[in-house]
Amino acid sequence: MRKIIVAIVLALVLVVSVAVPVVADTTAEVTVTATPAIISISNLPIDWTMNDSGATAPGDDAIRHATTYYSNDAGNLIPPTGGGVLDAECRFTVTNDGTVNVDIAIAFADFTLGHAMANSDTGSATATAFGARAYVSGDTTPGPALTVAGTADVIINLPHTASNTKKWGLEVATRTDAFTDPTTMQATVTLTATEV
Amino acid sequence: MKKLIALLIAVLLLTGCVQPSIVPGKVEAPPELYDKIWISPGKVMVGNFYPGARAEWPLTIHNGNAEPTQFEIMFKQPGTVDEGYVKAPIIAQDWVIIADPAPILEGFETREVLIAIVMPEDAESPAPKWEFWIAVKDVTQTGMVQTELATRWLVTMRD
Repeated sequence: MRKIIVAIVLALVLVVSVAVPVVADTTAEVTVTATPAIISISNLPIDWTMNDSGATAPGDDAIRHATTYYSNDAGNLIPPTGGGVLDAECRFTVTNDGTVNVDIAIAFADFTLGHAMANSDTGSATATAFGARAYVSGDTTPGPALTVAGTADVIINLPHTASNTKKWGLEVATRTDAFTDPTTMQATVTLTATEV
Repeated sequence: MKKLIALLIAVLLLTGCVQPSIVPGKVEAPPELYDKIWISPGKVMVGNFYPGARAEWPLTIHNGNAEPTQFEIMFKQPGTVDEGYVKAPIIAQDWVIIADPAPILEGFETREVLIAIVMPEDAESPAPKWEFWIAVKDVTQTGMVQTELATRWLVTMRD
């Protein structure tokens, strides 16, 4: 009888040892689980040259103060349709390539080089800062303000199945104080995708 | 005999007390994502957390570029949070350990990078439920408009 019990105990100890996974640096009593989702997005085109003279509806390359520019291929000074943005007014197309629906937030960094401009974070220009907004096809304008840290609100929600693309655009209102600099300013706009 | 029975019971109880994390398995992506940059998981749920505790989960990154690509992995405060959750305070950044915050992946390579959150014993809990993100960005992007992918970490504190 004793031998049987000892054998059972040893067998149980062996089972327990095998069952405890090697990935056990998580503190005991803490539970960790994860969704097996794959997050992937792509966006095209990757660039926008404001008031580009080489564009389909060309500007004159100059960026002026107190002026609002739109990433509208029909003309960068033409605002999108306020009551419902049209696809044709949106330069960019973002695609959800992953396996789950995603929310996309957008951040617009300060302009650097040239006569650098900081982002006002309000969507509106000030004497020394620019305002940035996004607009999305089908939505009304004005679109949400884009901040340096990234928007608190979801700008775009994308399913991963049918209709997994969305057209959208950018609006930049330059600072109201005059500036002059031959050096091109640059800024980075970052789309961050997370699982819904 | 009684001692042996007591030992048997103790072993049975021990089996019930050990609560290991669910073992993360290898992420299998659809073949059409071979040439896409992707990450997994989408969400990590940490439960029964408390000051002094540690929770970890591997982040899987796939380089969809044909050439070697450097990525940046970073703590990020969320923009939006799930209902009932609050945004992690910026100090939570100090609690996050990223095994390799600047990995260089070969073309089409898939790699795991361990992410851990270790809350100091004397830290104050941000809230009963709080959220932070681990963001991954291809730093070789050159365009004005760039993309970034993030895993949401949803932390529930012990009562």
